[in-house]
Amino acid sequence: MKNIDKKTIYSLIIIVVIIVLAIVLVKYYKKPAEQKPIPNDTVTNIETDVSYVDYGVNSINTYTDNGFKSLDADIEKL
Amino acid sequence: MEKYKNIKYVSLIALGMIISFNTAYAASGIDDKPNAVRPYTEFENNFGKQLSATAEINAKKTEVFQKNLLKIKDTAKKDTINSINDRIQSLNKEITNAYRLTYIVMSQTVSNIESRMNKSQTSGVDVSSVTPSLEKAKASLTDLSGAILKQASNTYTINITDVSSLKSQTKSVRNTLEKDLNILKDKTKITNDSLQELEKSIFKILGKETTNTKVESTNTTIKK
Repeated sequence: MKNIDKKTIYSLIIIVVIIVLAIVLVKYYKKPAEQKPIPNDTVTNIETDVSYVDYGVNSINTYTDNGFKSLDADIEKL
Repeated sequence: MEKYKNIKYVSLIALGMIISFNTAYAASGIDDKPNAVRPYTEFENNFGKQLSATAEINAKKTEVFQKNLLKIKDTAKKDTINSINDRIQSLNKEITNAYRLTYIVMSQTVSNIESRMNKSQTSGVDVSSVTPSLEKAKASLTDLSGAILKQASNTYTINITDVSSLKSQTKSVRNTLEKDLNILKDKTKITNDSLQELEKSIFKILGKETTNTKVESTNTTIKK
């Protein structure tokens, strides 16, 4: 300990203070409230998305019709 | 060498500052990649909560159903009615889930179109002609999300009072399910139409024509 002079101690104290300040900054830093925009590559496929939705809607209708047909066949067995 | 006697202290402080501010910068998220907007997050949360609540009600109703099932002495009939009850419930669950997934894609698509519209506006394009279509699509989406959440809260259990009315009771539950699912079907169609109208109007102002690419529907099985 005798070899550590005052300047080294002051330097260490300054470093500790800086680290504490950095931690406080990180803790209380708030990101901007607004959402960031969608990247361009996801914006360019609108047409595909709309077609896919249309396909999905038609598939559900087909599945529903088949489901009820099968159900009706079983109900008739009662 | 006398003028360099403080260099180790200066180096120590500089090193400390670099480490501290690097940590602060990394944790601040300033340099994060932009996240995609997920307009359906709230809907998904509500849907999950609704499913949990419905599962509890359904479990109680199934318990009553199983007790009432003992009234039926014919084993074959008992098995059939049990199977029909299960299938009515799974049909509701699967189809509601399929509408949920379609809603998510629709919702994201509208969000993408809105983003493209905003981008065009920034570039000086007059997008005012698209606004009514966009508002209409958003309104139909809101309506659809409410209907899907309501459907997720519905339970369907055959009420076994006596053996003679078994068929009519089962048909009644089946018809109620069909009627309820038709509400979703109609609302989904309205939303799908408004989406296509929106697509046409946004492409019109962007100077791009739709190619009317349709993916043909086939007898697709929806996995559980």
